[in-house]
Amino acid sequence: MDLLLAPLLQPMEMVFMQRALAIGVVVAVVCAVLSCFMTLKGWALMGDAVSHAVLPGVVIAYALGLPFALGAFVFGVGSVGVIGTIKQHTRVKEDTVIGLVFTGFFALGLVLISKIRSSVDLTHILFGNLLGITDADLVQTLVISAVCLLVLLLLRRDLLLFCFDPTHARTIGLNTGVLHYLLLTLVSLTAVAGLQTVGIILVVAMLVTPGATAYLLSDRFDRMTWLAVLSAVSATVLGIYASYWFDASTAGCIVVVQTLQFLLVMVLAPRHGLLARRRSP
Amino acid sequence: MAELVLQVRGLRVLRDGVPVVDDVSFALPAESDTALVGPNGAGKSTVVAAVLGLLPRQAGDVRLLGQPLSPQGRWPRSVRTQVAYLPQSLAVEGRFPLTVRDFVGFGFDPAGPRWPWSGAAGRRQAIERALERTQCSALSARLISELSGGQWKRVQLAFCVVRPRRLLVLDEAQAGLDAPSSERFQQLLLDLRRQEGWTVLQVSHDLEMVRRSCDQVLCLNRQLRCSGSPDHALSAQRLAELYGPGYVPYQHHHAPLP
Repeated sequence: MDLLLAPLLQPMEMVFMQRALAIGVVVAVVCAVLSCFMTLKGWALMGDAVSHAVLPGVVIAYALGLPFALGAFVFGVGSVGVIGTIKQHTRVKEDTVIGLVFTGFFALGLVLISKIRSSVDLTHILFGNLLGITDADLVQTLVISAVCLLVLLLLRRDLLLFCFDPTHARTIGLNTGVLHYLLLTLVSLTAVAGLQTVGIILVVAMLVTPGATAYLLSDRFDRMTWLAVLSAVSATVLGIYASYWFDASTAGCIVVVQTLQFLLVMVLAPRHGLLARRRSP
Repeated sequence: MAELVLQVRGLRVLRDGVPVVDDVSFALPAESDTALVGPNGAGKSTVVAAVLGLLPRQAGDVRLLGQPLSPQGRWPRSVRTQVAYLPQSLAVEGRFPLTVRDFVGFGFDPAGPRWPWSGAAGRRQAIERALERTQCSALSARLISELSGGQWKRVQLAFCVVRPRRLLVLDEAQAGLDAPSSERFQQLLLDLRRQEGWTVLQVSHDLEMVRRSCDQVLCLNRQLRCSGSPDHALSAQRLAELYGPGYVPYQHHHAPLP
């Protein structure tokens, strides 16, 4: 019995592994709930853009000694404003504008990191640093996650109606402008939370994959949310263990497990999987 | 004089600098059923969208129950929940994981933060009753993206009727429905309007239906060309002025089958 449990229990004897697991699970829950809205809204590209665009904000906040959530928030929402302005005043299509703006912001972040002398470690921001989380990071991530989760829970109805049809939502009295920016603000904040676990480059996977996996498994929003949470949490736990056993990148392992989950579900899902659809055309 | 539910004065909407709706004024008395008619491109949907605050307007005072629509297109909080809108089609893409019951329930809930599990008193009964009154009870567990056109329109009526409202705006709500579905929808709308005391503004191309069920007609072609009772506004001469001299009102009567 001990032989079976040892590979599971032994890593947990180390404090950094306990922390990694705890914070990884918390971030996975928030990202999973948000990912359901992102999937239904069709905002994968927008999530990618915002999560990359927060980089200069994080670097500046670090340099000035401010909470990095603040910098991320300003640049995340700022990037959305810039995308909207360019789209409104030029004939360039939205996906092109998004690609253009987020790479521009990201590049600015890289320049700032290389010029500003600070304790910021580029690889930690880009690829996460789940095994080396400080107390301050822990508190900040927990607070951000709690706030995001609370907003998503309290505004579930309004956000769902907004994802369903913004025009309809507006006619029944919802302030769709506020909801639009609120959802993007949540993406920015979640990107900061996810920055600790998987880093800026891969955080979009946390914001897209669990929702997409759950969407193939259920036609009910509540069930979809629970399945997304289950998928994200299990991928995080498995990923952290895998990274320990194989001495591989933690962020990479988590996202690879998530992607494998999606592929498995894509083939085997009871109603919407490829096999089920082949059986009943 | 009857209370005015909606008042529009001097509405002007530009598209690419060109007025598509100009100097349009009208008022909807309480519990009236008003049709907005006119040829394609006359600006009917634009009037509706501007009145609902979905399109920016360049000029015009729009009031719901005496409360003004802000320049940004928002109603004051006190009247916000009094409007319901049935568009030509909703942007339902793919399989949206929302059941008929969830959707109608959202029509009951006020906007703003609330715990997902805190059902207000009477919420469940209000949903059941709304589904019953719109003949949708059997559809309650179905996904909205699985419904036929006629079923979807009835579910939207259930969304409207689940809580008291004053103004219902329909933009060619019967577009895409076959004759029996359209007839069923119209009858349901008529019954609910009487029971609920709704004031209705509907864009329609079906002049026969307008003649039968509406009590005020607004003839629009960028500007308001005429208005009044159906008999007055839909006379052959008026229609020729509105649609052009070649217009022949289409009337369709079935002989009984042998």
